[in-house]
Amino acid sequence: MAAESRRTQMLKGVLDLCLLAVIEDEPAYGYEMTKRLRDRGLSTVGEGSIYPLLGRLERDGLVETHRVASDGGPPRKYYRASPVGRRTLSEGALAWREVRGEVDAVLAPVEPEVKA
Amino acid sequence: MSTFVEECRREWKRLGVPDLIAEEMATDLSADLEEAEAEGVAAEHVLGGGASDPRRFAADWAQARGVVTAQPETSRRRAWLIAAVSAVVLAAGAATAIALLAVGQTAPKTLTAPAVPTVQEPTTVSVTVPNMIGQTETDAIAETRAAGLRVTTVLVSPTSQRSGTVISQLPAPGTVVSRGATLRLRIAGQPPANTKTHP
Repeated sequence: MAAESRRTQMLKGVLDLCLLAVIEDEPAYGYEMTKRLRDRGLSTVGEGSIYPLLGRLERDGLVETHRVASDGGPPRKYYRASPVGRRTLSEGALAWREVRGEVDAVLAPVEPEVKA
Repeated sequence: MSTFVEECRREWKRLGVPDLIAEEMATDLSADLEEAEAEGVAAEHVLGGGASDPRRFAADWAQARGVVTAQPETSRRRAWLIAAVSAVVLAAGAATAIALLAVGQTAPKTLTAPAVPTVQEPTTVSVTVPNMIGQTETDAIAETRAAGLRVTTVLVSPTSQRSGTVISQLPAPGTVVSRGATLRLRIAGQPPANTKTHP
């Protein structure tokens, strides 16, 4: 599997949680979320983009949105985690930690190949 | 990047996305792309793989939001196929009933042929996994099946969560899967020994 597509696959299960995490306290618009993710340590979201994911989160009621006028520009859509979204985030973080621990245990003896 | 947004607009029009919603999406996308460009960030960072395929990007986004109203080609074919299969099943069911009557037996209340499904016109083979967390097991199972997914449950105990409710699920809410995929639910079982059970 190509490195980039494996990364994408791996992130598929947790990207929604990552998005919810960066809008748990402070609402943000699309690109702002990308920046927060990067600042927190997620360098890229893989081959996908966050927009369809945000669309699904909104459709499933995990995020709430409102539009805010920006100086000189058109109103931007801001996203924030809903109460259900917060619950999903905390359950999801628990599940992630479980899986991460288990996978780490299985892969522990494996020596990573050092790229030339 | 203005041509990218234009291509998206056109695709949303083709998909029957309501004008107001399409305008909103175009506005937000434009603003994000402009800001990224101003910061020297590549469009791929904002759009991912979609940067090279605006139609696909626009379609994925609109589908995910649930704002596509135009019926795509494939669903019309599928609707025809379902109608054809239903007709065959109906005929088979009728033939079975007639055959049984002819043998002198009372027609059984339930035919051996499967129930004829209502002709539905699904617009997609993919399903967005709903959020079942906190729901009762019964509701969650019913809703999951209604969404076109299979469901398996695992009892987890001891737990402080209310007994009989969904604690967690895989895949997570919002994941897009194929129809018929399995949603795994973890249900709260027995509470810890020193807590009351709910009636």
